[in-house]
Amino acid sequence: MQLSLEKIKKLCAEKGCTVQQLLLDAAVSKNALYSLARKKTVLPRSVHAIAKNLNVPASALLIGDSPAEKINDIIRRAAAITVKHRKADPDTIRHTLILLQEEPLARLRRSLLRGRKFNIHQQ
Amino acid sequence: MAENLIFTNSEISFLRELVRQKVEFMIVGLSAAALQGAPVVTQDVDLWFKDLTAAGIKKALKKVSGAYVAPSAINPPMFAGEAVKLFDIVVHMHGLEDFEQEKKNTMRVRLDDFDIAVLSLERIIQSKKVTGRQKDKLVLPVLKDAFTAIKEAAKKQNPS
Repeated sequence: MQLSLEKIKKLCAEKGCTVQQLLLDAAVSKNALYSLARKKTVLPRSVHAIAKNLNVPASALLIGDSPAEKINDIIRRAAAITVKHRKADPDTIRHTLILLQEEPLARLRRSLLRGRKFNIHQQ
Repeated sequence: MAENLIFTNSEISFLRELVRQKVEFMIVGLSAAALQGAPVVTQDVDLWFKDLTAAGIKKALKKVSGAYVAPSAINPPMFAGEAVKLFDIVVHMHGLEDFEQEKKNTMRVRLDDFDIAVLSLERIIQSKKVTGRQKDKLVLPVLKDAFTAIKEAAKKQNPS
């Protein structure tokens, strides 16, 4: 559970901003970020202690990281959007939210792969 | 695994070289929509260039052993070669402003280790509305719903 500066930099690049801009917008100081990044874990020591005594990794005590939890979260969010936008197709909303979890290049590859497969079947 | 077999290093190298050569271009059409998260299928990646005579295009093509096929009475301009066969050249976007104006409606999308300009989903929808082709009419509801989902997802990430 270490903070990855590399991941932050990559996400900044994807969003088209610098880390400096990000910190400014998030009202987080550079010192605070680098101090967190130097830590072996960003979780409080007590979480690790509880996990150790349960003989499980600390991540097992957290929610939102497992594939099932992620997909449940997407289904919940898709349902909320469909309630708000009644004419929207629930499948499209859900598929879009799923695709948003992927990198742009992976999304493009999916789209091309299916498009070209479809074309083969048509010929 | 199979998804990695399409749009591989060759295609990425071509786009990277276009960016390195400072060629002004943007990805448009359904591939641009897919990059932004719309669940659509497409067979090609449409590239809209500001100037098709830009020297950088030739240099980028040379790098991937591709070639430019000039337009004729029966053919639009095309690229030829294994590395560029997925790319289509777009010379005009129906219902939109010119390249320079639409540049303002692009977003930067990270591909591998470089960024490219991608036309916003809102403008892609606008263009599809105007073309009126059957295939565009069919995909419009998907694009509109995807746009709604992307907007709502962005709101959740940045509530302010």
